[in-house]
Amino acid sequence: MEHKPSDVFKKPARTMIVGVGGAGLHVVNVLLKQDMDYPPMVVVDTDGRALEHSMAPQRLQIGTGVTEGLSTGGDADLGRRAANEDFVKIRELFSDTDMVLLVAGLGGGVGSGALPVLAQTARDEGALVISMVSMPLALEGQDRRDVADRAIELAGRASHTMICHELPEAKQQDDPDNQDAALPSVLDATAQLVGLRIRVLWKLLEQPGLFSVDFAGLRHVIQEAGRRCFMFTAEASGKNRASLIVKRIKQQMTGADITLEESGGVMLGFLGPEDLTLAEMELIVREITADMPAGTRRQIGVALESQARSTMQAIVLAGGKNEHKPEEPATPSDVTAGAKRPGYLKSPIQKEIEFDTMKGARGRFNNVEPTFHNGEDLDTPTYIRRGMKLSR
Amino acid sequence: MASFPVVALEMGTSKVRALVGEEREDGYLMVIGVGEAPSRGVRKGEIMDFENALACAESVLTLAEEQSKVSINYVNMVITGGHIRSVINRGTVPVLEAEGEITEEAIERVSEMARAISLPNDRDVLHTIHQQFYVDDQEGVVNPEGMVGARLTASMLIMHGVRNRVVTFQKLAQSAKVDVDSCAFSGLCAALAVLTPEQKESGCVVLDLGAGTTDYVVYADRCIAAAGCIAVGGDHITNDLAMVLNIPLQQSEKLKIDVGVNADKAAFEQPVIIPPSGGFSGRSVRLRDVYDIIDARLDELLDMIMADIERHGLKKQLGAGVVLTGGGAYMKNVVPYIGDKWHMPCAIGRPKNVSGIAVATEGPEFAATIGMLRYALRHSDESSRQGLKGFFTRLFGR
Repeated sequence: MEHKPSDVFKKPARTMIVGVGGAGLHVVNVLLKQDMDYPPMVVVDTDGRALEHSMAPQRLQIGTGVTEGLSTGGDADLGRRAANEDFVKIRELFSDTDMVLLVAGLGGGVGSGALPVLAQTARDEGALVISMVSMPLALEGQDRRDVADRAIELAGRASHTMICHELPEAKQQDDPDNQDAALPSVLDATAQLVGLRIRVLWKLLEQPGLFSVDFAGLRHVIQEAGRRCFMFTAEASGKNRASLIVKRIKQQMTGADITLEESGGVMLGFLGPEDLTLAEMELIVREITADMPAGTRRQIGVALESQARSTMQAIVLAGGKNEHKPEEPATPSDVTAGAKRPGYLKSPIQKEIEFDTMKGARGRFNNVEPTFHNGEDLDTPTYIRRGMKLSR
Repeated sequence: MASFPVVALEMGTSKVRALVGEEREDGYLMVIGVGEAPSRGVRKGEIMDFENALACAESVLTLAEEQSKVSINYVNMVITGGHIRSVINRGTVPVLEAEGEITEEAIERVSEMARAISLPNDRDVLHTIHQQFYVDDQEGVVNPEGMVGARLTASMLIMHGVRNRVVTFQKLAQSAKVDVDSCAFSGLCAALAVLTPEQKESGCVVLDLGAGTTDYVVYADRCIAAAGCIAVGGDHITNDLAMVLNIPLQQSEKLKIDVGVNADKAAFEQPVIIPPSGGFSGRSVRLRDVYDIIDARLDELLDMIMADIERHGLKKQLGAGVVLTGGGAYMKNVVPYIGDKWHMPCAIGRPKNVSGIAVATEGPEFAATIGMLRYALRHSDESSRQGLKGFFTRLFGR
């Protein structure tokens, strides 16, 4: 990413926010209603009607041949095919960008299916790609979460970095009144939260700040910890703004399943008015990083904004849990979900299976020509051929 | 100017794939069309049900055609199967020229001799790949032209397979109304897609963990030193779990990917819940049993491959370690498991220098098909020129 410093200011067009799928469209709409400066926004979807209602100046409909201009109906595979079909259009979209922020909600069709394709294409076109995704609500069911998990895996590989947030964060955001908030306002709050994150991140990366954070630094934090990151944001104004920010971020951290103690790396970013003091920064950094082990990587960035009046915004980007911890292999993700049921733990798990009757059994290879190696039929499970027994 | 588009078709055991690709000026391979469908009628890499396999082939070719807007008339087929074997053959000729200078002609003659092997009646040669030349007693000569010696020897890796099975693949393509341009062994294709020149230089083994077969290709001293195919793959692991634990195949497939293997043999007494589905009421098994069953199968498979590598005396020459391709690379913890077992570096191989449709360009499961595209592009490129001596050396060698 080499360009003259002046280019960065003159050509903000080189950063782009792309809202993908229904949730992405919604976020872009909310951001456009705010009266703040954002990088140019584009929305991508299969659903012609949804696109019509979008306020985004640039709209890209994909997969008309696959969905006939309708939605994908939550089918991620359809979303993927739609994006692949309009691969050329997508490539054109990203042809002159340096940084792409992909915003999507996972679990549905376009967000989960098309996002990896978009990320990879943008990356191939030379842009730095950050995916900001929200997980489906727990009430949407396990299958949507499975779809979302798969999308995280694929999009995480395609993007340079991925920031993932859970929707309920919105209700933990500020005041407990939000617990009773109407659904649209919760969703809007989430969108605004995403918007805040995008703005702070964008400002930090685009402006050469006092303490600058560049993309490489950001990537480093994320690589230290794995692909999935947690991000906490707070804004406050007034005299006690620093301690308010600390309080709000700590509040969010207790809600998420992470403590900085086990995080692999942390980035703190500040977007503040010009009267931001060193003492305030010191307070926040000290409080937030207090329980981090000494060796953990941390990055600090500051960007100033003249029209910010006295509002100060801070983001804390934390890598996920360190994956080298030993408990990881013993709890294979979702298959152990039932371990909560105590009955399974107490009663004997299964009976020993008598293998003698199974000698020469071949299962699905029954009607297939056998593969022999040193006189053994390799189609029969090794476990049976070697006479191993399942433990009681 | 991008090259003329070529098409690769892979009739895998779990997936059937067709890719359309073209080469850009900068040498990148651009994938412009992808067709993928679950495979039916293929077991252990070979066609068992012609009608079903044909339907799959037709559907993926149509998908690829629609997406790439290219009308497909020729395909290049990736083939595999337990019947494919490799053998190293040597040929020696005296150097007749004055002052013992080795000419192009002598190289042609010795290559011809090294290629000539007698196979059983039912077998055909698939590939002949130059390994190295020997001038008198000097080993490891890359290009002997212009050197001086009394005797020139060439060694050649010859891959062969049962003719009828290869012809079945070609017949399948013809029934799908396309002609077969070339056929190549899936292991070689995978190697072609994922290896860097450095890896070939320092020696490595490409393990293509397919659903039906496990293909391997060993590079040492910048040439292909051994290659082979064992008709045991991911389907076997799934089947083992299903049979031993008495659970449906669908559940054991998920179990295989989610639980995977474990290099650490500590006893895991935790239960693993297998959720109920379609008539199966769900049950719980011990995590340790799952590990044991998968480990036993994978151990056996890896031992068989290592035995072949050691038979060729190559174990010490694999500085770059193991590169995994194929869908089996997604199995949890398989990378550290193989690395620990063989005491060498192990990594997942993703297609190199490829762009275009993301799904097809990022995953190890596409390595063989992408490699076939590259093979086909160079193949058409080279065969249009005359005098293509050492074509395979260039392709697979350095």
